[in-house]
Amino acid sequence: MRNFSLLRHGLLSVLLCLTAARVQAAPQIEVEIQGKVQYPGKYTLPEGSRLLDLVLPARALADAYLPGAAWLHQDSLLAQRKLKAGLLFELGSHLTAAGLQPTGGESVALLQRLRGWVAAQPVSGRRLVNMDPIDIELQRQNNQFLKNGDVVRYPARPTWVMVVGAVQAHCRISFTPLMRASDALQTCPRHPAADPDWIDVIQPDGHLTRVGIAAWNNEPSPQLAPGAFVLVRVAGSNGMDASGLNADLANFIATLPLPLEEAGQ
Amino acid sequence: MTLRALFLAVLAAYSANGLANVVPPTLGDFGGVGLMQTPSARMLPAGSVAIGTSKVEPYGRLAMTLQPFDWLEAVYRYTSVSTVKYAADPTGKQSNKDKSFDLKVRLTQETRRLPEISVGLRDIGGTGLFSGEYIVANKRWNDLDFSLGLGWGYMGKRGDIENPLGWIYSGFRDRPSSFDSQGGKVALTSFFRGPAALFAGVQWQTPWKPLILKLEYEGNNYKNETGGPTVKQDRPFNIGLTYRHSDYLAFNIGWERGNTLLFGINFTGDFSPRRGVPRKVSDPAPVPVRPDNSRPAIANDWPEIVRQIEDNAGIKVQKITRRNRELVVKGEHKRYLYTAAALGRTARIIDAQAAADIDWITLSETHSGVPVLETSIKRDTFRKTLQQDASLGDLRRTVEQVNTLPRREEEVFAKKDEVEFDWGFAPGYNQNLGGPDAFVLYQLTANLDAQLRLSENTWIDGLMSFNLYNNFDKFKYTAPSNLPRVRTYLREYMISSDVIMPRLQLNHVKRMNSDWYAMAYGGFLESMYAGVGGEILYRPLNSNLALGFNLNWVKQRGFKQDFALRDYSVVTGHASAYFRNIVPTLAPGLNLTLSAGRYLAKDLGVTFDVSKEFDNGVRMGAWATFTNVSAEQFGEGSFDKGFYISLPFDLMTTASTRRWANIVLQPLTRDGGARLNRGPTLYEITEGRNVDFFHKNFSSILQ
Repeated sequence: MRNFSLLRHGLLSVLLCLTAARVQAAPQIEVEIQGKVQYPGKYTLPEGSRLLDLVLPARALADAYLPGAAWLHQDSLLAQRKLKAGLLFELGSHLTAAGLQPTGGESVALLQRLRGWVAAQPVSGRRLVNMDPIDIELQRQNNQFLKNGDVVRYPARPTWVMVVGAVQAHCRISFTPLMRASDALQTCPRHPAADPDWIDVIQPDGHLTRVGIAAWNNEPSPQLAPGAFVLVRVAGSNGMDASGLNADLANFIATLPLPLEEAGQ
Repeated sequence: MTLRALFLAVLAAYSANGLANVVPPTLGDFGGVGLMQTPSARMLPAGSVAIGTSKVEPYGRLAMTLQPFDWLEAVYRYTSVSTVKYAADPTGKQSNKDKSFDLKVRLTQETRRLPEISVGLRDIGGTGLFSGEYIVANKRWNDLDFSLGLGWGYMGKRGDIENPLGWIYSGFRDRPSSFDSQGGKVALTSFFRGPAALFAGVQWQTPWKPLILKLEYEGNNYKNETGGPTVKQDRPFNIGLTYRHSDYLAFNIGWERGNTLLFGINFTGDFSPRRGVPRKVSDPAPVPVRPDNSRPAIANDWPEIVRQIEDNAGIKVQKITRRNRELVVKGEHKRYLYTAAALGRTARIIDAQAAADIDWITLSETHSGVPVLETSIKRDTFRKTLQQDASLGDLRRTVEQVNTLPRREEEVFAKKDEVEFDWGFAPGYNQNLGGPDAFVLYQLTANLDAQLRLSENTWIDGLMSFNLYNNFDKFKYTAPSNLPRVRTYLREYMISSDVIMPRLQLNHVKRMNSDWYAMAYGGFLESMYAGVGGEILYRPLNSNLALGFNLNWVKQRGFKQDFALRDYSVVTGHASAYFRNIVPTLAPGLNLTLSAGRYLAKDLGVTFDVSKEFDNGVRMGAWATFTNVSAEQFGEGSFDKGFYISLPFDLMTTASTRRWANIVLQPLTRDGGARLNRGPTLYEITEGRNVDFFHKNFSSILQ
C-alpha cells in the first residue's frame, strides 16, 4: 500500500515535470505566407520572430510582384476597423445629405454604390513596409516583429489598374507600360457628382498622392504601377465638405491587398 | 538598389515634389514675385531668399526678396537712377541711389472659383519715389497664369479709375504728395489714396520647360518720372521672357514702355527644412551599437570614454557623475548644432562601455561654464531604437528635460580646472552699401580671435583685425548729424588704422537660480565703445517667454580702435521681453523681442524685433527702433531699422558645426536709436533652453 502510493506520487511528479517543461518552452506564434512563394502555408515560429524568419524559408519566387506584397499585421487591425467604420458612417451622412436634396438622386446612387463596395472590402491589417526580401534582410527597419496570426502575401503581378470612386462604374483597365493616371481616367467615364479638382493615386505599395486635374491646379500626372488605384473624389453635396470622406477613402484603399492570383479575378 | 526599389523611389520623388509648380513663380524687376513692372499674387515657397538685379534705363535695381512665411513676402531694394546725380556726392560722379522696402501679404489661396489674392505696399518707408499700393488676383488656366490688379500711387499713375475706396470715405480720393527727402517715414496717410489704375498680365510656361513668356499691361504712364522727362512710355504693354536655368538661377529679357530693353538676373535659394542637409561625410562615424544586446561588464576607463565623447560627440566634458542608475555627462557643445545629435553620439559611447547597472544616460549641458539644462534618455529604449526595434516616438517618450539642480551624486571623472587658451584665424569682410562715395565700399580682413579661459565661467575674449585690401580711398563722406555722433563716425572707424582691436573684454557668467542667469563684463566691448556692464535674464524652462535687463556705462573709443578713448560717455541699458512662437497657428515660429530703454545718444525708446525661426534654425527677421528723437533730428531714414538672416553653417557643410552666418542689412547708420553692439548675450548663452528646437530636430539623435 505504501509502495503503491509512492509509485503514484512518483508518477504525479513526473507529470508535473512534463507540464513545467511545456510552460518553460518558448511561446510560439503561428503565421502564414501566401502567393508566389516556393513553400506557402502556415509556419510555427518562436515568439519574437521577424518578417525575415518567415520570408526567408518560404522563398519568394522570381515572378512575385514585390511592390504589391503585403504584410497583414494583427496590430493594425483595430485602427483599420475604425477607419472602415468611420468611412461607412461618413458615406451614410453624405447619403442623408444628398437624399434631402431634390436633385440629389444621382449622388444617392453613387454613394450607395460606394458604400456597398466599401462594406464588401476586407479589413486587412496591411502595414506598409518595403517587402522586397533583400531589403528586409539588409535594412532592419523593414524587418519587423511578427505577431501571432499575421499573414504575408506575395501576389502575382496584376495586369490592370483600377479607377474607383465617383465614376459611372468602377473600371478595371488593362495596364500598359508608362501609363499615367490621366490615361486611366480617360477610359473611365466620370460620375456627375465627381470632384472636378482633385484625384488620388494609390500605388500598389500603398503610396498615396494627391493630383490636381482642373485647369487651375493641374500638374504632371503620375505614372501608375500595375495594380494601382486611381480614386476619383466625390464632390461634397448640399454644402457638405467631402474632404474627410475622400481622405479616408484613399487611406482605406491603401490598406487593400492585391489579389494573389491573376486568374482568379 | 534594385531596379524595383529605384522605380518606387522615382515614383515617390515624383509625387513628393509638391512644390513643382506648372507655372513657377518668377521675380519681377523690383524683386518679389511678379511679371516685370507689375507684381502678381503668387509667392515663393517659405524659406526662399532671392537676390536679383534688373536694368531698365534709367533705372538699375538690386533687390533682395525674403519669404519668411508662405503668405508674406518682403523686399529690400536699391534703385539707381542714372539720369539723377547723388545729391550728397560732391564729385557728382555717382548716380542717385534710393533705398526702398516692399511688403506683400497673401489673403486667399487659389481655389476652383476664387483667385489667389494678395495686397502689397511698394517702397514704404523710403523716400517714396516709387511708392505705390496694389491689390492683385491671380488665376491659372493650364500653362497660363493671369493676373489682374488695381494699383495706387506709382503703380496707378495713369489714374484712369476713380478710387473705389472713395465710396467709403471721400478722403481716399486724393493722394497727398508722398515724396519725402529724408525717407523712412511710413506714409500711412497716403496709402491706397488718390486715383487708381488697372494693371494686368499673363505668364505662359512654354512647352520648353526653362522658357517662360510674359506680357503685362502697366498702370503707370511714366508722366513726371523721377528719371526725368526722357523716360517716356510709347505703349503701356511690356513683353519679356524668363529663362529659368534651374530653380536657383533665372535670366530675364524684355521690352518695356515700347522703347526700352530690360535685362535681369535672379538667384533664388531655399533655406527651409525642405532642402536637405549635405551628408556629414567629414564627421567621425558614430560608435556602432553592441550587437549582442547585452550590457557590458567592463571596467570603465573614464579618461578614454571622455576622449571618445570629445572626439565623437563634440562635447567638451567637464565631469562625469553617477546618480544611482543614471550616468551624467556634464559638458559644453563644440560641434553639433542639434543637442539630440550630440546626445545620441554620447549615449552610443556610454552604452558600449558603461557598467551594466546604468539605466539612464543624461547630458548636462553647459554654456560658458553655466548649466543650461539636463536631457536624459533611457538606455534600453535608445538601443532598441537604434536597432529599429522601437520607434523614434518610443524613444522620445523616454526623454526628460529638466533644470540642472544640485543632486546627491558620485563623481567618477572630473577635468582639472586649468587656464585654457584658444585662438583662431578667420577671414573677415566689412562693407558699406549704397553710400554716396561708391555703391559698395568694402574691406577684406584677416581676423585673429582668442579666448583665455580663467575659470569655467570667467574668460577674456579678444579680436584683432588686419586690413588686407579695401577701396576705402573712395570713402569721403561723413553723414551730417544733429545728435551726438554715436555711430556716424563710421568712416573714421573704418579707415583710420590697418590694425584694429574691435574687442577685448572680460566676461563672467553665473546662474543665480534654476531660471535666473547673470553676467558681468568689461573692457573694449565693440568697435566704437568701451566700458562695463551687466545683464540679468529670467528664462524659465518650457516657457515661451523670457525677461532680461542690462545696464552699461560706456565711453566712445578712439578711431584707431586701440586703447584710446574719446570724451563721450553714456549710461545705456534696456529691459527686454523675448516671446517665442507667439502665433503658432497662423505664423509658426514667429518670435518677438521688445526692448525699451536708453540708447547711445541718450535717447529713450523702444525696439521691436520680429523674426521667423524655421525648424532647421534658419532665422529671418527685422527690427525697428522708435525713440524720442524726432524724424527731423534723426535725419535721413527717420528711425533706425534693418533686417537680418541667420543661417547655421551646418546646413551647408559636410562637417557638423555650430557656427552661424549672420547677414545684417541696415540701410543707414544713424545716431538715433543706436544700440550697444556687445558680444554674447545671456539669451544666446542659454539658447539650449529652446526645447522646441531640440524636439524639432530630435531625429538627429539616431544619426
